[in-house]
Order: sequence, then C-alpha cells, then structure tokens
Amino acid sequence: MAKGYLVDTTKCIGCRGCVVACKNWNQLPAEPTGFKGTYQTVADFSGNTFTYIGFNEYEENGQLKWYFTKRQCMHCLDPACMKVCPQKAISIVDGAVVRDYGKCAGCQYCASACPFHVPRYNTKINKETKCSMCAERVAEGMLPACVKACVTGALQFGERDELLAIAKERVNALKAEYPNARVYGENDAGGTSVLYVLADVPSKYGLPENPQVSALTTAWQKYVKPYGPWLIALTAAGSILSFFSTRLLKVGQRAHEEESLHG
Amino acid sequence: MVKSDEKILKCSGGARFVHWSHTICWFVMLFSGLVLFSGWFNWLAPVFGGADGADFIHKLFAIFFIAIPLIGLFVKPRSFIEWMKMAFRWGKDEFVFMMKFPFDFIGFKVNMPPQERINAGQKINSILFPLLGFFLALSGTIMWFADNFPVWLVQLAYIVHDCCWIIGTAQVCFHAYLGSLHPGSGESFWAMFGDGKVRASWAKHHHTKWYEEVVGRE
Repeated sequence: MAKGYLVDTTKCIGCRGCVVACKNWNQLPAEPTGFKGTYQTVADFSGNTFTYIGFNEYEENGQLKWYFTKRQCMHCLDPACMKVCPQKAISIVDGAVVRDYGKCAGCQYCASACPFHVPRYNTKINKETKCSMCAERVAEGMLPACVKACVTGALQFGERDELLAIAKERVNALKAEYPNARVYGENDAGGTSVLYVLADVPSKYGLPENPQVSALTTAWQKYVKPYGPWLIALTAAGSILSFFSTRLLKVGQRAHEEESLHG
Repeated sequence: MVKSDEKILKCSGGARFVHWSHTICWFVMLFSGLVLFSGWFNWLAPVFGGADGADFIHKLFAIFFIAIPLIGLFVKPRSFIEWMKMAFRWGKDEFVFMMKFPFDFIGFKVNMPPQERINAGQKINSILFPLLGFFLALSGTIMWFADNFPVWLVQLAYIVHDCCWIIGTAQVCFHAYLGSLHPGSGESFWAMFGDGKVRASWAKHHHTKWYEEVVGRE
C-alpha cells in the first residue's frame, strides 16, 4: 500500500494557505504576478512554483461560481516522466514520484512527456522541478506541507486505498446536488496517487478529461530509442567488413593500385 | 597539359575549415548527447564533468554547430550554391555508379562511369549532412527552449533529433571509412586533411569529368 492524498475540491475555499506552505517548506522564492482579470494570483506552475489554486470562474443561474482546483504533480502510479528520464533521476518513494536533483541533468524530457504538463524547468539551477509530495517530511512521519496547512479539510493525506474509499463515499453524497460529481485519478492516466473529488467534469477544473501520454512520446520511447541506434552498429559493421573484404579479395585494390596511397 | 604528378585543388580552404570544425562539433555533441540520450552511456559522463556538464557542453557546441555553416554561407555563399547544384545534378553516370558501388564496397573490380568533382556517393553525402544538420539544429533549438513551443512540437522534436543523429552517425561510419581506409580513398582523405590538393593522375581516374574540366581533355 502506498501513500497518496485526496483533494476534495468541494471543501476548498481557495485560501491558498497550501500554496504558501509549499513555497515556505521548499524554500522557493515568490514570483511577482500581475492582475489578469481573475482572483487567481498564480497563473501556472513554474520552476519555483510546485502548486497553485486554479480559480475557475463560471456564471451559473445568474450567480458567479468558483471551481477551485489545487494543482500539483499527480504522482502517477506509472509515471511517464520516470520512463523517459535518461538519468534515472526519478523514482517512486511510497507513492510519491520523487526527483533526485543530484542525477537530474536538466534535459527537460520529463516536461513534455507528462500527461498533465507539470514539471517545469528552473533555469537558475538547470533542473526540472515539481512537487515531491514532501517525501522527506512523510519519511519523518510528518504530513506534506500543503496538507498540514489546509484549514478546511479539503486535503487529506494517507493510504491511497483508504482515500479512494473516502472519495467514493463523498462523491455518492454529492451526487444528489451535483450529478456530474466524480473521483478523478482512480484510473486516469493509469491511476494517480493524488485523488480528486470533483463536483463536475474535469475540464471545468482545468484538468484534462482524458490524460494520456502522447503517441509521439510513446513512439520515441518504445521504438526510436531502443532500436534506432542499431543502424549505427550496422553501418559500422559494414565498414569494418568492407575494410577486410577489399583487402582479402585484393581485386578492387589492384584496380586502384596505381593511384592509391594505401595500395 | 599537366603532368601526372602535378596537384590540383579539390577542397578549398573554406570547405576544409567547415568540414573539420563541424567534424569536431559532431563528435563532441555525439558523445555529450549520448549521456543525455540514455543511462547506458553514463560511463561517458565523467568526461564532461557529469551529466550536467554534458548538457552544458552539448549546448555550447550547438552554438558552434549552427554558427560555423552560417559563417561559411555568409563568407562564400556562391561556393555553397555551386556545391549544392553539383550535389543535386544526377544523370545516368550517377545512378550507374550507385548501382555498381556495392560491388566496389565489397572489393570486386568494377569499371565506374566518369564522375564529377564529387562522385555520386559523395553527392548523397553532400545532400544528407546539410539536411540532417538543419533538422538537428531546428529540433535542438525547440528542445533547448522547450517552454516557448507547444508541447506536441517538443515531443516531435525529440523524435526528429534522435532520428537525425542516428542516421547521421550511421552515415558518419560509412563516410569516415570510405573517405580514408577504403582502397583508393587515401588521396581524397589527405586532400581534405591536408592542403586540399590531389594528384592529377588520381583525379583523372576517380573524377574524370572534373579532371577534364580543370585540366582539359587530352
């Protein structure tokens, strides 16, 4: 059984305490943001921002409604970022997808492989960065910083299986009022350690409806990388073969004898 | 009429400069790139000061890789155009050369049709490398500044970059061998490596059309 955490979006009030706690624990500098016509202060992930709250605004029945989403690494059970990493810098530690900064070479392969487009490049340290589910805190028996900071109970940390049961129960309770309510992350992208309780469809929350590893990434990883380099071995072997056969047969060599320096 | 031991210029100074500086770039970027390609090549990482260093060296030489041909193009645009014109000029002699070439490659005696300053195989080389270089530079730029491009383009760039360097390095194996240790190639190797000149008698045998153009028919 592996750890995970549950984001109950219906309990989130958008206080952003988790965002500040994350910055605080990971010692990430604040980034100046401008007003973009929404209450959402942090627009997207960055090399210094591992989590943010999406303020998805909709007008429903003449009322303004917010669909808050805490966004961070989904901690996939079968992470594409881990598969494409040439340095094997990414590993799973008790459900958390963790990057070893000592091994990361900043190649950014993981960034485009991620079906949620979470990892971001930090130019200053030349590393790709993302949420680690506070694996180092969890190892010491503490809660992840964001979960610890959550005042409404929208974030819960624990065993994924138990959280999944809680999430399903919660969705059942929500169904009466929100017919589209669902659990997100149970099987999406092959299942994720981070689970969401959503009151409506994922796209309303800015989450991909059908998160998938791109066919381009799969083709690259499964076919080009393992089989492509054999072409080089083939031409190298051909050249070596020709080197010996031309000298053994000597026919070609004699034809060139007059002018060749190797004749 | 030239004497048989007289020498004629095959590779200009500019061509030799671009060729060898690009060769250095290719190999430095190949080996540093291998570290970034797969964990299999981690044993190469210490050469560059770790995977981080390989990443840095790869990007540093990328600048030279792009700058060198651009400088060549800027300084001598006409000779590049002439080169490309010749590379794309394909007649019966070129096709017959390529059909007979596998036998020459193995070591049988074949009578090749007369060739220009660069033979049909070298023409393929002359088309392939600038083309691969162009796409390597293009896809590499997208990979380097990935944040500024749509995700699908970055994903495509990885495939293009890998296909190009793999085909290119496979071709380098042929090119390096055929241009040096293949019987009869020594002369052109020393032309590219040395002062650019080849013996007229060799040119007459290997690049008959060019010889006749430069020296005149006998």
